[in-house]
Amino acid sequence: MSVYDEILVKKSQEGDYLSFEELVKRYESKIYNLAYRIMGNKEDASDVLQETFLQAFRKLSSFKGKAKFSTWLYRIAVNICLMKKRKKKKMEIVSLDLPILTKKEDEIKRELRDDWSRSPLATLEHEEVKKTLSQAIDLLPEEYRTVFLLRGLNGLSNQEVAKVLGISLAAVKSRLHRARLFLRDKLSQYFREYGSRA
Amino acid sequence: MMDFKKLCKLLSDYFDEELESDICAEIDELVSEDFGCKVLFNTLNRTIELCEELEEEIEVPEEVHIRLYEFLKIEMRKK
Repeated sequence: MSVYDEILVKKSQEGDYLSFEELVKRYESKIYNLAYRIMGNKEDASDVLQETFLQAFRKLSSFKGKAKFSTWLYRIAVNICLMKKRKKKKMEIVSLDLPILTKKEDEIKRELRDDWSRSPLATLEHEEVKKTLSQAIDLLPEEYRTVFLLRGLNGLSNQEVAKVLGISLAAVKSRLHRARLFLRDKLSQYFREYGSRA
Repeated sequence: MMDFKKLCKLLSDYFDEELESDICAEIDELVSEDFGCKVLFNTLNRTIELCEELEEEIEVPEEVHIRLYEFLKIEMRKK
């Protein structure tokens, strides 16, 4: 936990509400962005933001400082997001296994013909690439997207993501890697199609 | 011995600098010798870079910010 967070948490636990407001100020944007990317809309992101800080405020007395405050807070936010998503999906049949996301190695190798990495079009200034990538991120199954977002958007380390999600470090690495391979594959598909159009 | 299958499993760790230097050297060697490996290496690297560039932060809308603070103030008064 950063020293400043630690001081603010301690003061908040002693009843200094201004310190809690300072914690809110420090993490409001990060939590909102995370919720927005997981939930996919501003209304749900706003609800998650409010619910996260409400739960944090109510549970703060039981926070012992064993983990970073940010890790604890992200965990609350992710749990709220996942609960909301589950509620929305409750009529669907959900598999307990992680979906198979990436192709087998020999299949990947067969498709490796073009190196688009240095193409002048492989930039976000090219709107279609930006759109393809954003859509591909949205297509990631929830388990992968959450890891991907916590690592990328919130800049957490693999170890921190493991703590937030309560999963092993190996699982974090594996999901992050599969997510990246999936996105790479979607971009490769785009460039193949773009090449055939040109 | 490094091969395409191993490379497929290790590349993210390579880009996250989480591999031992001898394994990195094996990857570098394979990538310099094999076209398919090089394509995978370059395109995955570019994908990660593009993802990082995409991660622009959205601002919390003013009304959401105000509502959050009002809500927390009410909650704090209850204590």
